Amino acid sequence: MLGRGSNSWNSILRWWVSFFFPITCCLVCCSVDATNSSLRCSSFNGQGTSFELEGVRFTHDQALPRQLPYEVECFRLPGGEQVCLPSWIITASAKSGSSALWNFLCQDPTHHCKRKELHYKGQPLLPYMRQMLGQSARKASGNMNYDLGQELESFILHSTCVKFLVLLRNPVDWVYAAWQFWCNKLDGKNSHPGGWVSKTEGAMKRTQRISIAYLQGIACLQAVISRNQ
Amino acid sequence: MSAGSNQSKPVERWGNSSCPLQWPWAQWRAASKLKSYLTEKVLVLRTENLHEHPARIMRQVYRFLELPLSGFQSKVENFQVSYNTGLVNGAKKNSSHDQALGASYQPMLPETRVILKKLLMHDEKLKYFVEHLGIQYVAQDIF
Repeated sequence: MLGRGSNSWNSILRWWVSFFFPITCCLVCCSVDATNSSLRCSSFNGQGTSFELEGVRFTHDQALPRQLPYEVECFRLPGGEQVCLPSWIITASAKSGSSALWNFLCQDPTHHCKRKELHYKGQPLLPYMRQMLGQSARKASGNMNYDLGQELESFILHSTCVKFLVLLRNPVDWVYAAWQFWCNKLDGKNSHPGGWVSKTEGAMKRTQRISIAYLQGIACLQAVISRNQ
Repeated sequence: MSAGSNQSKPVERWGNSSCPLQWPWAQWRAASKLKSYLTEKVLVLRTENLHEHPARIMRQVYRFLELPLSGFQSKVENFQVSYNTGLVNGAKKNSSHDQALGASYQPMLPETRVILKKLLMHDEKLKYFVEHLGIQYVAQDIF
């Protein structure tokens, strides 16, 4: 760990090496939180319109599921099944304050918050939508690969009601926060089991004489190689 | 592609998103894309602002979501509590501001910030995104 009192080049290099390896986990750890509010979507006027996605035809449906005590934007499937979208979605990288914003919003009892995150990682869209419906009486949310995912984006583009709250954090601060959270074991339960620190210490010994610029080059080279494989 | 168009699309010019140095920018790119698609249905917030001014940001959120401000008014004291310290039913229960966001908010050395800024091409990219998203610099962007 880069101590607060240390300002040597070695410490900086050590920090960077420590950061470089564990950051790989961040690619799949960005979060999207979503929930339903009890409010009617004032702009909803698409009843009966339809679109096709992943070979399934979705038709806007203003009839609400009986288990939902409030109105949300829903779609009817050919078999009669109904899926609904949340009213608003928080999208942010992990360690960017999305949970805090969600908690703030969920202090308002009208939001029926129950579960913060559903996990969307590019799986087929329909099961995910069913999951959202299952959670929508309380709270639905999901983890994304640092992006909404093409399918879900396409789906939401057909929505007239869903609103997005996007939280952005200064990337320099985010890098340090991500390393602290996942790699430095200060948040023990969230750190990688087995410890990135021990791994990176070994890496540091092998790379003590390597400049930061060289490490940067290695990082980008690895990315290019993996892209072309 | 002409040099002019390259200059107008710096995000594309920086290329491969699988490069680790691009990862911190992923959400900025996603926000930029969402904003292009959905315009008025997207509200872009800065984490730093939520941290420093939670009540003001929450008022902005309530207005954007068209939620009744009565819900906001009843909780405004909670929002005014500095981010997550949990003194009055805050989002999380932490004993101090240092612990409010966990270890992720621990300060880093100034030298490290300078190096990271250069590695991440911070200034050039942030300038582009801030202009594209129509948001403002916050104090932490200027160091």
